[in-house]
Amino acid sequence: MTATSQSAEQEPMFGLMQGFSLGTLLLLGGLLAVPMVKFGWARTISDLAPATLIPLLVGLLWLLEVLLYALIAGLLSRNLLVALSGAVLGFITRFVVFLLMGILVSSQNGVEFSETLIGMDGSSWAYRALAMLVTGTMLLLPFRRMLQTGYGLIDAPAPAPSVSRAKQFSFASKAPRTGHYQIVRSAPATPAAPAPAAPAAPRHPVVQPPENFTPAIPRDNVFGTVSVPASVILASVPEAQPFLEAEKPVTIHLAYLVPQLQRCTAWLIWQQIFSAPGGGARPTGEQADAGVRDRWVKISPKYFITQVPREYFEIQRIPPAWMRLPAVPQESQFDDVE
Amino acid sequence: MASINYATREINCKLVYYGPGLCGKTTNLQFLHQHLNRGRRGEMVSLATPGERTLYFDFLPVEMAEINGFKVKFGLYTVPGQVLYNATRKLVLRGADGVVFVADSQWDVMQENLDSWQNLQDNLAGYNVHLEDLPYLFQYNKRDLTDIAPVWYMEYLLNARGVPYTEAVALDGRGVFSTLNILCRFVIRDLVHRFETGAF
Repeated sequence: MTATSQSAEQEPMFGLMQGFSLGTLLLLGGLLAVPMVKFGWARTISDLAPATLIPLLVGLLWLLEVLLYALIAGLLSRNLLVALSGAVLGFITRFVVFLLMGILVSSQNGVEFSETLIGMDGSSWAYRALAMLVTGTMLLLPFRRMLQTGYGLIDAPAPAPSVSRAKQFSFASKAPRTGHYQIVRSAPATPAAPAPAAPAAPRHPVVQPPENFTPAIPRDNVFGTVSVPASVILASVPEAQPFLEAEKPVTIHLAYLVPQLQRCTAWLIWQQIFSAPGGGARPTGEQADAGVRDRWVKISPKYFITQVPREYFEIQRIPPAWMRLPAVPQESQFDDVE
Repeated sequence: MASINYATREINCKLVYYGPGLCGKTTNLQFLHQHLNRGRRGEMVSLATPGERTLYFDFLPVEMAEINGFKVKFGLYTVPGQVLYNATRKLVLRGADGVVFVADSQWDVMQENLDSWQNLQDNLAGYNVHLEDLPYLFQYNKRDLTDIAPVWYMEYLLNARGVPYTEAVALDGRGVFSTLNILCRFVIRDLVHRFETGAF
């Protein structure tokens, strides 16, 4: 029996603290703790520590341990609250597990509780190793949950949700709005370069002209002509005011339908306005370069729906499984009216 | 998720009327409340603003005939359609056994229909529920108005899976009962199927 363990017999709490100091060392050392114990270094530290300094050492180690838990939790979550919670939870978990392991060892070996925590002989090695394993696993659990919910950095490499949301909100609130209509500023003169792999599809797809769009109207995509009130176009393109009379409808070619975007919109090649009845004179020179040509306008489908072949709206429908279930006997219905 | 009380031999299901603001969800429930026999319906609970806008939800309990010795009861709920009440919508949607998507047929609110439809799917996804597994149907409401989209276009716009739909004028009660009947039928079938497969 070593001097340290003798003192522990005299003062159980003192021995308990020593035990926790060793346990703390094992945890703090991680992998390093295994060879420490294996080669007896930890026992040597425990044995050689002066009895008067041990309480101070234990206190410092506990403080270090809490800071370590807080550091790990903070790094994983980047959240002060989670860091503090992780520190407290980790420390309490380790305390409880070592306490249980100590009780288990003492009850099985018939020795004093403090002895089992300090002693290096017998089967307590296995329990100690088990305690380390269980403690480590339990310490990781809260962090794992954080990772699964997207607050961590390992499974969720995206920036912090709060920052992302703030950016989205800022972008949305500053986006130009023109009533129900949205303007695409200009079509690309050359086909766009292949975009890098996009992350996830946005909830409402960003409206873009087709990739192979050219300003000239492809004949195959012309469905016919449609009469649109000039006010509708002016609502989207106010700078067209000099060329249109708000009272008169404008007959324009229905040039390209993009149903997969928001499916209640259509795109018109706006340059046709100038050659259409009621469209006014086509701007020239600097006026033409000012951005009023090759403009796309989104209009409500109510203006063109009768002009588009019905086949265009035919989509393949696969009914869900619950629609194919057999009828249930005694199905009744609500048809009685007071 | 439907609940079954074996002691009282009751099955309770939750049906939710979903849709954009002012599309007629509450009107549906009000018509049902006014025209169902008192023995088959309870009192309607409605939390609305002075402007008749649903603030939290409406609730109407109705009772169907017995099936295999079990009395089937449906709790009909509406959600507040206004955009800012999404948390309430999501809460009401929790545990739904069936959904009626009430779409406003007017051209001017087509975008609102789409947004609400997308919002429904998002909120269901929040509960890990997909429309492939949840009985639902569309009710194209306000068919009596003039500036409305044809049904085939609304089908194209919203009904990508070809589920049942009804045309309705909820104010007059047209299509209100048929909407409820169709949904109840599919909910019961789904319930029985889940029983038989042990998925309940």
